Amino acid sequence: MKKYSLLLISIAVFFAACKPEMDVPQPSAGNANFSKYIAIGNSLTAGYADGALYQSGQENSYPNMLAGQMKLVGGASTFNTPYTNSVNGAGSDGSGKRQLGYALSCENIYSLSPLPTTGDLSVFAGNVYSTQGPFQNLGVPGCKAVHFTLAGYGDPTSATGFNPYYARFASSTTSSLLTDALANAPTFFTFWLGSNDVLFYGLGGAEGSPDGFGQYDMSPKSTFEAVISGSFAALHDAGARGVVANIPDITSVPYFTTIPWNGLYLDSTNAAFLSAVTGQSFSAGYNGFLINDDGVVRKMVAGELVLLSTPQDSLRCAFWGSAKPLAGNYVITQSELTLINTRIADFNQILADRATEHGFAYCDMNSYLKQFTSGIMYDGVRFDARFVQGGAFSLDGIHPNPKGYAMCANNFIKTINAYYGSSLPPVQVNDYQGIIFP
Amino acid sequence: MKKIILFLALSMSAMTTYAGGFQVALQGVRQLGMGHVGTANTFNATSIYFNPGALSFHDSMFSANLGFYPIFGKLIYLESAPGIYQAEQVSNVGTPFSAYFSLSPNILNKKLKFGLGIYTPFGSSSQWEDDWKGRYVIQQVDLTTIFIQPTIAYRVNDKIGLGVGFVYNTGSLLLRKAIPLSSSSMADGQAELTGKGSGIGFNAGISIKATEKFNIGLTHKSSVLTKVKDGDATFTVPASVASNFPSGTFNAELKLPNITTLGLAYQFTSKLNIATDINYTGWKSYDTLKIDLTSNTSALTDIKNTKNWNNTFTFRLGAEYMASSRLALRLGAYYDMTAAKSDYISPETPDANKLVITAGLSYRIKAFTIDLALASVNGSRIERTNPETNFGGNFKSKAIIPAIGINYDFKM
Repeated sequence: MKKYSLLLISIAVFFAACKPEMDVPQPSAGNANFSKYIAIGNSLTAGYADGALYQSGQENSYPNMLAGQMKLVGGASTFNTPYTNSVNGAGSDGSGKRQLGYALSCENIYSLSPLPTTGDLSVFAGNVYSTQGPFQNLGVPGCKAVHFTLAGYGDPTSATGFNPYYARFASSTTSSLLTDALANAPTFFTFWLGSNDVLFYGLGGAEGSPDGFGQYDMSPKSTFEAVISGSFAALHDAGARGVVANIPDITSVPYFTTIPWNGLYLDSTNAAFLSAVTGQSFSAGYNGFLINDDGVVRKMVAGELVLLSTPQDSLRCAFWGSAKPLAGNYVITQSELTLINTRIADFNQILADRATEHGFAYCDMNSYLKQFTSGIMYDGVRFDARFVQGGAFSLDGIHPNPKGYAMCANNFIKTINAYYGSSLPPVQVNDYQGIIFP
Repeated sequence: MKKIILFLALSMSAMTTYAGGFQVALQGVRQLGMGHVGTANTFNATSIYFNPGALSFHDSMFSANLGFYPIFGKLIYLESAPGIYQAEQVSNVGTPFSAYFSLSPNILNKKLKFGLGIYTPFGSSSQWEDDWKGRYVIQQVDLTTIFIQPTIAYRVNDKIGLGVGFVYNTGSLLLRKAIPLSSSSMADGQAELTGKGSGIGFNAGISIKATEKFNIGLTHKSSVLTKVKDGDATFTVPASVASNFPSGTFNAELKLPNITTLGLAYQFTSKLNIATDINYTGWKSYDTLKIDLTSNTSALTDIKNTKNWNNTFTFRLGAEYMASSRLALRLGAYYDMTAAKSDYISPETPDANKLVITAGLSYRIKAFTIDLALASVNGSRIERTNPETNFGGNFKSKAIIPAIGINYDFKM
């Protein structure tokens, strides 16, 4: 009997031995100290998606993902986000997150469309700092770089302007985002701020001032440079190290690329009619939309952009872009785009120079997001920059969905590892939610 | 941003898969014990597979040989550094088998032999957790082939034997993977292809008794183009995009490769035989897996995978020692080169260089012989990224194959 059990044990050991083994690399922090990580940024950092700031979007913010990986190499066990605890949340327009649903078009066709939910304005009721703060995710939707050092940016009575998303969690009515950042005594930071200094100008159809501080203005270069220099120096002097991400091109996001410049389809009768009425030359087939370019009515040309805010029913059924030229706030012309691109390049140069000066890593998100234009394969899934079907952007056409944010997190990780000699493991992109279809 | 018509073109990315298939070199238990060498030897009815020419030298009237080869194997996955994600196959237990029958119609012609072989030369069975990292590449693959080979062998003279078999393959295919489309109630969509196929080919060999002690064997097993007709293609996706993924039927083609083998055997003493086989496998002919879906949409196009294989060599060495008139002891090893070139990998083909160590024994009781063999398969660790799917990482496989067989020889 003993002999047999010995034999059985040997057989069991023998078959157990047929499982192969590989050594799993041990993550390390390298030269970085992740013990107190803070995230500085705008809506992208806050986890804003689908046109709103809402709970699950915040939970899937890239800073949360990074903090999770940093925990493996000495990062703090908690990473505090000013959660909304709201399913639909609230967007800058007051509505809740968008969801895919069926909508009836003016042509009586039901089609899948992003439909807004009812906004939850309780998100903006009161300040959660005293009960939940301090916060390490300092992402504020709508925040520009030039707002970063603004004292009272969370004070609704402030004369210099306030941001309701910051008012939610500002440490005081006199604090700035920079002072809140430094109060954390951070050892490591991600800084992805500056997009809004250009983007809002684009969202307004480049009708604002190219050098101003209004919502739809582009920030002046000198102010941007002063704020960045000062902020980076303050972070550096406080002993923090980190990574600075640059500003993506506006043509990297579906909001500016989904409606084609030449989306005006005409048959020969309508083409002849429209030519006669407008004095422009239209032909059968696809034509450039008719726009009002600062008083000059003309056809759009290749390279110009129609914004996703353009009412599509009006394009289809109410002669927008044909008999009724599109207004300037729906269109970015070539000269406007050149202005925007030049400013992005200038700002990114400032971010790169200042990051280098202070010994911070520099994450080229601009180049990374450009890759989505032609598509990125990831574990057998193709992601690209198309609206909805591209799989990486949320239903507002500007912000990534959780999968897209995960890819941004991995691009941060790649940059951090290369610069600081760390080996943070990447997050699993496909384990995060993408577009939800009905 | 009021209403946007969606033109869904979620391409079914290539069905290129990596699941670490085992090429099934398990066609005789006696041969397996000695590194699956057997082209130059004239052991028993297994020659129907190993060398139809050698069958002509068998001295039995009627012979039957059965073998079972359960595979206990595992493939593990580790994401490329600095990633730490790990996964392992859920199970990989396939049971290849072999059965051979030969008949010598002595009354008609002493030089003629007839045989029938049924065996499973290619196959793969591999399943991963449904939510694993590579789920959009593969969740499960099951590929089986059963070759049925009627054979005729003719002894030209005392030194030369010729044989040829006609091969009919009946096979089946199952492929399952996730589709990256989710709804509030469905984490992933699902694609499943199942079908049965058939194909024909041949297996020809020549056996030469160069001297009393030295035997030479040369065989060529043709490629077998196996066609799957009217397989079932089933797609499960959220309702709003279902029209882009119509379920239907599919046709597929799989070209199983040809194998040319040179075998040498030398009888060192009356008890010790040492033999070697060198296989040259034409994986290069197997450069695409074509799947033709009968219902195509812009989202669902036919699948044509580039595979880019290399032809490969396998080197085998084995020894058999007759400890007594009843007991035979065997040892062997072989080295299997990978066919995968430049990162194209797939489950139906060898993926990594493999070293296989084997041992075996036989015990004879009158006309019956019990054969036992054990093979230990060690795949080398490989790190690859498939350029079509951009899925990659480290893979390593290991398997133990305990084989059992029985042989019956009826001699006049």
